[in-house]
Amino acid sequence: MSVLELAGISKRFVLRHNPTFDFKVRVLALFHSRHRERRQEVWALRDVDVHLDRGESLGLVGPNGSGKSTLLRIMAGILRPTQGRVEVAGTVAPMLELGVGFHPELTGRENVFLSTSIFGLGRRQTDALYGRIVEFAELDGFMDAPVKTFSTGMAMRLGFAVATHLHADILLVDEVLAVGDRAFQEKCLARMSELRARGCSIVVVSHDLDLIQRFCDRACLLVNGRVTAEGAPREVAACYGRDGIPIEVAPAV
Amino acid sequence: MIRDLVRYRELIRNLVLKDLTLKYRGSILGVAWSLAHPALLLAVYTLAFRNVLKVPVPHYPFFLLVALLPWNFFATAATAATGAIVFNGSLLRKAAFPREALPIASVLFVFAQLLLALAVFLPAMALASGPGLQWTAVLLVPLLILHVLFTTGVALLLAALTTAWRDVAHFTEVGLVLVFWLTPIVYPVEMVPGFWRSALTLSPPAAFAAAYQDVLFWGRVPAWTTAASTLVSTAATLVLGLVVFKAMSPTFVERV
Repeated sequence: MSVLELAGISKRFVLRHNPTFDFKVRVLALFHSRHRERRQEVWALRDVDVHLDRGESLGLVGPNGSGKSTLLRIMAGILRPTQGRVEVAGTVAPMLELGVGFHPELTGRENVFLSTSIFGLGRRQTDALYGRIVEFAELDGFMDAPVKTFSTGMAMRLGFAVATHLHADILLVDEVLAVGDRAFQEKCLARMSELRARGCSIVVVSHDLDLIQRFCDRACLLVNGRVTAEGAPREVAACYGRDGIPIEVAPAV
Repeated sequence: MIRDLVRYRELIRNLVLKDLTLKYRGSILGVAWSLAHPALLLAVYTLAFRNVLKVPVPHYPFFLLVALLPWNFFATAATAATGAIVFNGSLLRKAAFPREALPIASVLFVFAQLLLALAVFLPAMALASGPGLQWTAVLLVPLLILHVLFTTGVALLLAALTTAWRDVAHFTEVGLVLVFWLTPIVYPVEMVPGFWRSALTLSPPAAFAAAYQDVLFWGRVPAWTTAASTLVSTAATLVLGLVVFKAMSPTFVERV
């Protein structure tokens, strides 16, 4: 059963070199091409089809600039595709950053309530989850201190705890595991496996091919905005050459 | 959209609480600043317009108070709204909450401070020897509701337009100063010469100022022209603000 279905997704960005809102610069531009605004269209994604089943974990790999994060933002409903169709059956928790909406001056507790409400949770729902979030983050006794006094690790654990306790049907994870140490990564992977076992579908963007092979059921390789390989993580990882650059392969059928 | 906002009412509440907390945490006088600021304005304007320019209104500080506090709410909220979207780019890129929550929260944050100021100044006005408060003061409740809705409409419009043209923020800043002096807040509308006076009654800020002065200072029910102007302008700005915001919000992420 598909919880997420993307069909024929393309996304065009307009890059503005020398963006000129300024009237003075616009007048100058009439005389000097140096000041002229140049618009360049960039297709971050071209005709991408992705589907995700319930309880499945999908890895997205590819070099920087290949469109992985754009694809994740389209799945999250943050960006609207230029072309194509997005069908989502369920709620989405995007973890594009750890601690979305966290403010350093607010306490851990205040930040938890702010962050969960950004993802649409009510106060009662957060009340019910709060104990488990604090427990997972191992921050019992610290939650009334401002987050600016937390260590990096504490803030990361809290951010991860919030994002993975939202009871979402789909969890989108963008490179956030790369910032932590070994123990943090293991703890996060264990939590993600637990969610998956309960039927949560997970999309992971990472450059860490070992992690993708270990955790994901399926993987997609994106190169220049196109899916160039799709299948078992091991096979997709094999599309990377020894130099870490993807070997050009025929688009997946 | 309404259903989205109901679902995300907790977000709006938390954004308002966050701003209030951040505003007062770590300051010694804390909430008192929200009272000190209007009190100082009142003192200075009273000096300038009663003692120097001799505006012929009895109990001038009270006359000034009842329209100046609401104006400050409107002006501060409108200014804050121009940054509500453009200064929250990182949040917009990370989550897909309804974007309306940001300008609405910035309006309610400023409105909370108006309520606080009214809660202190109105009892003072009722007790002090002056115009006192008449029964018409109960009309303040619908008037405040209308004013919040009007301000929300303006805020949605400004927040959306600023993402496309940053000039809107500068224009708003200058425009508010002009509108303030063109609105009978520090002077009574009776001092305005004939033709301009009728033009003024059509201006929504002037209608709101007149309504506040009527129900709180003069102790009378606002004229039907005043009431109609506030009602119609509220409905119009709210619809315009919502339509423009809705149309522009899908591109916010790419513009900020």
